[in-house]
Amino acid sequence: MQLYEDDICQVTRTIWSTMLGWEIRRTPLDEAAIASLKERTLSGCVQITGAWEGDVALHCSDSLARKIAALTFGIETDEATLAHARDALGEMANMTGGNVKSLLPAPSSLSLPAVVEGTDYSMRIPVGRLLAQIAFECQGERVLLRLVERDS
Amino acid sequence: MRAIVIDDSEAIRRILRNMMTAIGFEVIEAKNGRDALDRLATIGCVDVALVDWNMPDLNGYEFVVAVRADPTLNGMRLMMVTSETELQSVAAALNAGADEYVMKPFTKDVILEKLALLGIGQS
Ligand SMILES: [Mg+2]
Repeated sequence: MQLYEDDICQVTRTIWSTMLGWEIRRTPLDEAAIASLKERTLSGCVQITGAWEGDVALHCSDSLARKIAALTFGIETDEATLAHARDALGEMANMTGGNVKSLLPAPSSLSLPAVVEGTDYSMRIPVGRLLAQIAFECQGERVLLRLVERDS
Repeated sequence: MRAIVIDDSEAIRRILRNMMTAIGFEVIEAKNGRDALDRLATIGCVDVALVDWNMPDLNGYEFVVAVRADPTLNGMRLMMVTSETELQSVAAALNAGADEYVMKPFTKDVILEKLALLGIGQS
């Protein structure tokens, strides 16, 4: 579990710094981290199937997703639409899933990313066993990463 | 020089398009392998395709197989740019006819390096 978390943090830092040039920092998974996700959030999820089965999900505020979109699309933040935000966060989840997959038993395949909107992330209960739940801070906002192993 | 950027993420297409146009490529975009084959049927062979793996309709691996089976696209360089990081996947793509393999996340330097290995773009 600890091994997973350290490796997942490393993968996450690499993805965010390489694609966005942003530092993403691990923070304690405290009430504040959970509370920040009770507002308008977007969740990007990918499924892994094969030798290991489960989901990798990235949750962040709508505003952070739009900042990511603005940077990747080369537009102003206030020009970034929900469609831009969904595309950009979906791809961040895809990259996260692909790189996390390489830490897990092979062979397995990755689904296309799905992005869902929600207003209270903490109410959503994952189906399966929560292997890792890691809170990060980036650009003054919270990001939550969850790795859930599906029950077999 | 012409390049086709194939990825279901518009954000990734935008990033790759900017990198490629900055070094003098004319860039065509496609949102999956099927879309790319349709475009290539119209515009003809291009110098290089940057190909994502996970895409709806026709994925990147299937696109590589289709291109290598099509004599009209003979000589087109194929570079996978993908989050698919398993070694088996890299080997499968190269065996199917991909020329280079870049794992996401990628930097501009890595893309330029791989293009140089293919003998195209700036070195
Ligand atoms: Mg994709």
